Amino acid sequence: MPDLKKIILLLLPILWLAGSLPAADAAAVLKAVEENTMGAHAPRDMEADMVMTIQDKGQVRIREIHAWSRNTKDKDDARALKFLSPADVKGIGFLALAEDSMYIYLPEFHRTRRIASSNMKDSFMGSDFSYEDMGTTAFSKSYDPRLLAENAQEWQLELLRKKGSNKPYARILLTVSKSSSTPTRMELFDAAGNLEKVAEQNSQLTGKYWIMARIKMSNIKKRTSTVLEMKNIKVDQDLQDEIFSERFIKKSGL
Amino acid sequence: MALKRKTLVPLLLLFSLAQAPAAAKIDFSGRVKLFTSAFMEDNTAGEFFSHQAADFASKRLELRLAFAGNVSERVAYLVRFDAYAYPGDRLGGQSFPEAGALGSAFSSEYFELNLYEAQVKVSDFLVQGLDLTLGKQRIQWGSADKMNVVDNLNPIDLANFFTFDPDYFAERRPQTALNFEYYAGKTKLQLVWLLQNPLSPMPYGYTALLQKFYGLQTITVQTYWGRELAKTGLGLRISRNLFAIDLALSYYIGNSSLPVLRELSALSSLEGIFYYPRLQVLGFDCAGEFKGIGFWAESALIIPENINGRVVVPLIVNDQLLPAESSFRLLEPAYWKYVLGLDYNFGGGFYANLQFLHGFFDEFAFTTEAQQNLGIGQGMFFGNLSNYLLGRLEFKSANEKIKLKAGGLLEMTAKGSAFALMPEAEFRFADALVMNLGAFWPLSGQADESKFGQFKKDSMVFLGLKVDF
Repeated sequence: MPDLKKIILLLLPILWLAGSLPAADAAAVLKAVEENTMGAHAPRDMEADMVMTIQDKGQVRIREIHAWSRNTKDKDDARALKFLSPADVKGIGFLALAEDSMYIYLPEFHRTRRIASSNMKDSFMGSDFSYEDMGTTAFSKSYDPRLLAENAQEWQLELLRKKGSNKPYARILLTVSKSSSTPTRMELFDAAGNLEKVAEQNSQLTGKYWIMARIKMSNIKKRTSTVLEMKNIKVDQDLQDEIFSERFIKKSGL
Repeated sequence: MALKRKTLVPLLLLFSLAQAPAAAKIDFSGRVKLFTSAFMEDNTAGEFFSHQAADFASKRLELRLAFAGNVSERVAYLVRFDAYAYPGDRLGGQSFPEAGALGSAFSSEYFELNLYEAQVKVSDFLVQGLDLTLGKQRIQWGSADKMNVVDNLNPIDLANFFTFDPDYFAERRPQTALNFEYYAGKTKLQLVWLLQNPLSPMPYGYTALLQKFYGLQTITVQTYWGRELAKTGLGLRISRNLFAIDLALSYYIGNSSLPVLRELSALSSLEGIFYYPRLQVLGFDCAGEFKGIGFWAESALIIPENINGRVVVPLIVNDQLLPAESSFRLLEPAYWKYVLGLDYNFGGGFYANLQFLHGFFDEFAFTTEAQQNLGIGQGMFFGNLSNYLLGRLEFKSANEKIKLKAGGLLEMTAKGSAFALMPEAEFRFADALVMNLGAFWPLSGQADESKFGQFKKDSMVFLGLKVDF
């Protein structure tokens, strides 16, 4: 019996961490995150330079991208990317008007091709990010949250993929900063329960918004990592519809 | 008044250009590429290629130089030169490898220069939303993955098709044109006026090969156009996104970029007359996705001009050779070409792409009389419409540094079929440095049954190395 008591005492904190907090709190935390990343407290639109540094077994490769995004209530979310370097991808344009409406512009052939959403699983320019990872952080649509732990600085949520969702990660452990209500770390698990990737994020206050300025994505299986840094961030410029169009991604230069 | 109208557009264009400030930054890019291929088996009496195993099939050093920039916010330009050199000698014949009169080693170091593109694009030309691109350009037309049946504006590059260089597989040549694109919300209206008659370049030595294939002593090539403006090509296309599907209707009037065999004459010698017919093409194309599976389709209703074919053979009448002529309608009044395609990314680096094609680039719908009289059928170059299945499975690994492709082409004709495998491995050693290793490997098919069966003994392996800068 004393042994059983010991076991119960040992297990109590774990059980408490695992699920004693009400689900409503987890939903509230997730809502706060989404408000900051894509909701009322997020910029209506954003333009930035992105520098991607891929570290792969001692080899370092750098990609530069110019990005525009729009996130307004009255219009569909949209993103446009122009690849600036290296030379073999320079000029390629990417346009996402909705989850099932994406285009890629290939300057070598002056052709815009529609790409299916299944390509979102693909690696983004040979990095450790997939196109999906580069997308919005609308977790609540596809995941059920549960509060696992909390301390003075952070919340830790467990997100379990909803039935019928086609998101690539079955489970996400999401660490959220209490001071900014933005994610600081994500552990991404596959359907078999294996840890696939870890994302460590730094957000910075730009004007009145918390903007994700740096994210390091580590691929646990491949032992590679990619750092994505955002520079020259501009927000709320009222970017015109024309930017999120096939016509724009075909234009040379910026 | 007429003069005014004629001069107004160029004047406005010049005015637009004159508004531009001095040339800004020039964006310079290029590529150096070496492509070599070698035959894998002997075929000294081949239909198209004659070789022994381990002979070079092609050997080419390519330099691409492109200059692009913005003259002003609304005016951009692009110029691309492609230069080709043949690494190696071709000594033989009746002379030594003499230099040119200016001392260049042109006969021992073959070199060709091509102005691949030269275009100026004016955005918001005359009205908001109207873009004009003028000059030599690749015009976007259709939704399919390279097997565009509605696109008759950019001729297929058959010269490079038969090098089996994957960079040029089913690629098309830019044309000199005025290309107006008007964007109004989700609708796009495009009007293209070709300032030339599009022609597909054939592989080097193709005329002689075709002579051999048909047993012809002479070949004559005829066109219906001369220098008349009215006989150049014109295209109109309207596209719109509806219910998350991209839809387009198009119309083309102009010449076919590939010829038909129109006449055979066997009087003094066997002569074949090839002709580039005038076509009207009513096109429909669409692209979308269903549950993550990408799909696209194109159909083209082709209405060729009504032309007669002719066969002239000598008949002995009263010990005299007299020509006996039979004349017949050459092409069906209207016929369809179409392509249907699907693709899917399975995740984990696996991607699949499949297309069904009715009517290869060089195929026409001949009347029964034409088929009988000229001996044209399916499975021939410039033959009757056949069906094709094209597919490829790709696997990407090591953060896209390695890409493996298993491509294949199945040709289905009334007489038989041919299947060729096109495997390829792509290695990205560093950014912008790519090596391709691959093969064109015909596995089945007979020369008298199928087009690709004619290459059955021409299997080849290739190596490509390219650096972009």
